[in-house]
Amino acid sequence: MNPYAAVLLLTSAALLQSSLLPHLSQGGLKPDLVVMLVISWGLRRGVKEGLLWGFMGGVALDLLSATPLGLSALILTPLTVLTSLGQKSIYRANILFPLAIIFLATLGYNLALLLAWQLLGRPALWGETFLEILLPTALLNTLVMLPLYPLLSWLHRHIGPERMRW
Amino acid sequence: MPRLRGTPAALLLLLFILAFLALEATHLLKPVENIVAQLFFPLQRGLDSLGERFANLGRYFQELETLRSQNEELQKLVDQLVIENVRLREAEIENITLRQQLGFKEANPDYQLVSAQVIGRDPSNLLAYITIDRGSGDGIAVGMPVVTSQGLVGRVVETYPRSSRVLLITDASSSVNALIQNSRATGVVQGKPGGGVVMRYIQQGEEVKVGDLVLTSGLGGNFPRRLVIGQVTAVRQKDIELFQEAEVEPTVEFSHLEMVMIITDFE
Repeated sequence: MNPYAAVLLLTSAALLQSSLLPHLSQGGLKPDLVVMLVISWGLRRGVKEGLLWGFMGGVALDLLSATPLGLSALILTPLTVLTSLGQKSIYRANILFPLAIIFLATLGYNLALLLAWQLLGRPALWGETFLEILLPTALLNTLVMLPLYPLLSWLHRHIGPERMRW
Repeated sequence: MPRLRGTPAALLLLLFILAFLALEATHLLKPVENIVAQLFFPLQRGLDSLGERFANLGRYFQELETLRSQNEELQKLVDQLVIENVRLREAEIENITLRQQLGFKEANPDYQLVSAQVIGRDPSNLLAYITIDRGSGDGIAVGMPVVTSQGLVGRVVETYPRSSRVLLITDASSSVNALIQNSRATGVVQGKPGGGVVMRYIQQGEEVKVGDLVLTSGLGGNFPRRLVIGQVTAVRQKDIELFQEAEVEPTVEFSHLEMVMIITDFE
């Protein structure tokens, strides 16, 4: 995908996540749309695009969040590279594979974020946060991934093989 | 020759006609007429109905175009009215909020207030921050308390020329000095994961009851005194611990936050 289009898509997703989705959220939790897009795209397109998407998605989130600029990008980039290795997996055609990946990736991303904040001096109530935010968010993302992944797979087929030039 | 053959035929027909007229005048043909009428009645009715249908069909095609254009106009009108209805409903909600804000201003004449609209929330579920449409250009500065007519919302932690970021009291990193309205017991209200708040560091022996109102104490000078934070929903007290804790239900509905007020100055 054209990187400029990717920047536009991920920035729009981050804006949606911070402005529209909170109004539709249930129990105060909203899906991590950007994380889902980035991980899914990496799974379909491989490490090279995953790396760039992870970085761009992280920066887009940082721009709209109270987190220090670069923190989300720092976590999301290696995480996307790691999950993008799944593109080579023989199980990638099975829908359960991306669902499991998104569940684990959401947990990993938020746990790393929580740890980073604790290192920066913010109180981290691990037990409560895990049960009341991390786990429900991972489940919510897995659920939202069901319709999102086929959509991205269609886009991936439509665009064709990996070709990313600025 | 045809004239010779035609003349008797014509005479015969005339004779028949005269005979019919004579029979009709004497009502002798009535039974025959009745039978014929009985036979023709269903046919007549059927044909009449068919004729009527053809006439209706013609009218239908004539009216179809008129109805279509009328329908389009009515649909446009409905669309306009729906939009108007939504706009009026939004205006009504905004009006209620502004009235509540006005009431808050009148009840607290010492506060300098600036109204703001919530334009965004933190994309992460782990953080409880909002973004408002007032910034340093509107006189907003870091540390200023943010409220609604229902109670305390949080405080400004970052400002930009036209917007600001507000830390909500439900965020885990938020701490507000507070007191219980009835017993005057003091403590610190802290945010917790999942959106609630808890009042910690209440001295053992202080009376805290479910339903008690929790207000800002004003200690530290970060927040004005007597701003409503919430209501006690549960008390956790263990003799072996130094302090007791109270679960507090915030009076502000953080999930439906649309308009807030920033206290730019207070005594």
